[in-house]
Amino acid sequence: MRPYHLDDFEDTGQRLIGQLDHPPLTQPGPLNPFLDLLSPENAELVRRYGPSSRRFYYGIPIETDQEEYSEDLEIGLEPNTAAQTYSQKRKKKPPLSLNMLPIELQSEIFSHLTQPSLLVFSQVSKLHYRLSIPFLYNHLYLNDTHIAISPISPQLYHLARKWSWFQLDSSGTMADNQIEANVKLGLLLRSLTNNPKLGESIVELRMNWDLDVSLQVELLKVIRKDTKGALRAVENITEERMNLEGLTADGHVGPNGLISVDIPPPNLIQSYRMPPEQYFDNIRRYLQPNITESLRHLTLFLDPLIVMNTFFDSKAANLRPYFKLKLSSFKMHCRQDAYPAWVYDKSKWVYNKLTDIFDVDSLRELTVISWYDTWPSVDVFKFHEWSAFVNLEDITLIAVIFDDELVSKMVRSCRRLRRLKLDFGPKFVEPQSQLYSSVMDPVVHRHLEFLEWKCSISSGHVIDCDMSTFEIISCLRCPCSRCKFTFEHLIIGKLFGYNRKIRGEPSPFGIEDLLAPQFNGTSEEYALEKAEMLESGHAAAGISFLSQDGRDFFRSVNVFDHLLKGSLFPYSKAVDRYPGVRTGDDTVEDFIRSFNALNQTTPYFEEIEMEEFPSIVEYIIHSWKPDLSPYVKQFPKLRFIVLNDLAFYLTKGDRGQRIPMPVYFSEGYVSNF
Amino acid sequence: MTEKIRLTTSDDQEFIVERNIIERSVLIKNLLNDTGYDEDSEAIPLPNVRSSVFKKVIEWAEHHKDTTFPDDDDEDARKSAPIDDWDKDFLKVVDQEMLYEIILAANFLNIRPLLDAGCKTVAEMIRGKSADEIRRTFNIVNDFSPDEEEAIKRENEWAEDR
Repeated sequence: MRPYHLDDFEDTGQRLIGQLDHPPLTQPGPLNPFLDLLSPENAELVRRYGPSSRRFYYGIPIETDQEEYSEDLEIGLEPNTAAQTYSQKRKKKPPLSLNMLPIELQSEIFSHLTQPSLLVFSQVSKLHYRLSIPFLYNHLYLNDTHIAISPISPQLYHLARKWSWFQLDSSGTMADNQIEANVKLGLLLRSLTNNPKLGESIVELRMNWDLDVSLQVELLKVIRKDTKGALRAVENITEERMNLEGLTADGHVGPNGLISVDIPPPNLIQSYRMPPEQYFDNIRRYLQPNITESLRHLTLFLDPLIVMNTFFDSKAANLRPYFKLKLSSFKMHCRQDAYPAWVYDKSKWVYNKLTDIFDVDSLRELTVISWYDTWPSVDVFKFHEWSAFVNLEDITLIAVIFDDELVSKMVRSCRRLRRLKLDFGPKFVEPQSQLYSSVMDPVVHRHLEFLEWKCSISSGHVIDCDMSTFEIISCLRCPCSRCKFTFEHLIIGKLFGYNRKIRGEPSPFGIEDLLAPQFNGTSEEYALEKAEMLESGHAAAGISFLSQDGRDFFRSVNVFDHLLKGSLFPYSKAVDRYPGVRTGDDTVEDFIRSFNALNQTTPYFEEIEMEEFPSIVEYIIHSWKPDLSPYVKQFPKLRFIVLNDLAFYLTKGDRGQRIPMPVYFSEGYVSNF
Repeated sequence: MTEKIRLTTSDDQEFIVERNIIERSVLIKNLLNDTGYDEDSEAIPLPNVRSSVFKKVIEWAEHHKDTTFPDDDDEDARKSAPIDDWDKDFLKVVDQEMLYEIILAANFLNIRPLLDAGCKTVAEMIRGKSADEIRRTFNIVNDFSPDEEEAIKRENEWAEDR
């Protein structure tokens, strides 16, 4: 795919000259400067009822109702109204409406709007264009795949609230999405080039590893061209060019005014090829002017001790002795990149531990990401050192080695922990582990609001197989009527061919012998007998299927396993704060189609339908009730739990009880809590 | 005995409210702390708030006297927090004009959780409406020329779902 250029995006747009001549309305302020931009009708409404009116502008004397009436007279309402009663006069006044609220309150309402609503509002009137645009541009998330929209009402939880992103085709492939995203990136660049005022609203920008680098560099250049811009942080810098060309005015490497520094790796993919000397020179050139007292967010692909000892000179930067970075967040990527031996030379080091370079009181957010293909020494993650940062409120560990003692100690040391994300690659946390005890201790983590981890499910798999005996077991783990229906109709009925049994067709499996050994009647009688068995708990205890072909059969019909291991559920850095991106080409339709195709040759298998998909999701989640209950009961402030990649938000049920509800695929979901 | 505070609304209605309830208003709380209010003090004037609106504000404050809300300064927590079920019902039954007046009162009295709940409720009312529907609903005149309208659509094309 060839790189994209700005010229690819024909500029036929007309600049909205003069419409963004004022700073974003994030602070309350007088409205008068904008009046000239409004239509006479809207300007009159604003004059009468907007913030310049004394009536509603807080902190300023308010007229009495009599004054309101007088004002009405002044602007030409019927003058001969001496006999009118007060209530009659009130009827003359138009009812208070959204556009009569002070600008700062309208702006406050706009801060709660979703991206589609902001887009619509920007086309309503000039005033509303001005109000909505800052919120549309404040935080830009440059995504390269479709972002899944949760059915949760934003009124309940406004997920990824602050971000705007590219709306990509949900039915397109990942490759299609990437092409579309680059086109939209070009369109964004066109808008920012044509109307530089838009760029002034951008506060935070999240770059993307898989989008065209030249376009992203160009985007940074356009935003940074106007130094009055609000840009404060750029996340996910993938190449040096973004720092050296994009964030540095006219190629002159100096202070860039941001509160974030991202030092990218020498190569996108970790490599044993030595980076050129220029790479290290560039780190020095960029770090030296940009490591300052005001730095708050730092991302490194090298050991921070190496970076601060080898590539940064605090004396040259005129920083006080024993200067420590007062970061609020630090992200450390641990990779196998090859570096020359001098990089590791500690002979001239002045900083020897993390507490020498990071201010313990300031650091609130820590992210450690491992890129290792093979397990490195656990020391590279520095868990033992991070334990000293007791004020951490947000810890994210991704693909790191599971070291029960060290991670447990680190988690326990942070008594203010509000957010915790633990990913140990294929390793699931066992309930017997120290870490499990630490995380589940409500006294230690009474402030926890967000938890994401992979944990062994005590209730076991929905469908399981004993490989030694080829025995397939499926248990009805939730006794609710919905699960009973799914168990009978879908699991036993469709996957294991029992519907065929009802119709009198032979089934190759032993299920009929176990479930209804005496069955010899009509389908209605059989259904009745089955219902009685379910009621008695017989089915809940488990059903076995004996077959020499059990292993293959188990793998192909285990729709739940396919679902959990597939790519249907979106991935998010944090489901409440960041958009959930797709990680594969699957859609629900694709999933059902490919599952049915896989089982085309499975004897007596009956195809599942699209409408049954919600039941499959609900059945899994209901079966997890024993595992979800402790979070619901023991964590008073928990709002989100992502357990084994399934995201839940906690809300109140009909009886006021706390219930976990799935963030995705939750249409029609009924809780069993 | 719980301290009582007297307040007068814009239509000269006097209210006597328990201090711990009215202190949901940061404005009143600061005022009480700064001025050393006692039982001989004059009623606190609320020139921006009508009595019918103030009654609703007090009803809300009484219900939430023991509720813990996110810190006023923690904007992300405040704005991403769900509206309390009771608040949802409370704001659902008022007409739109009263809803806006509650928002104004919450803003004036500096009651951040009530202001957030009100703003979220209005945002929800807006969701899913077209530009024309919004103009009709809120009586807003379209002051764009056709060319300007076209230019805005082009400007925001990167963010549109198409």
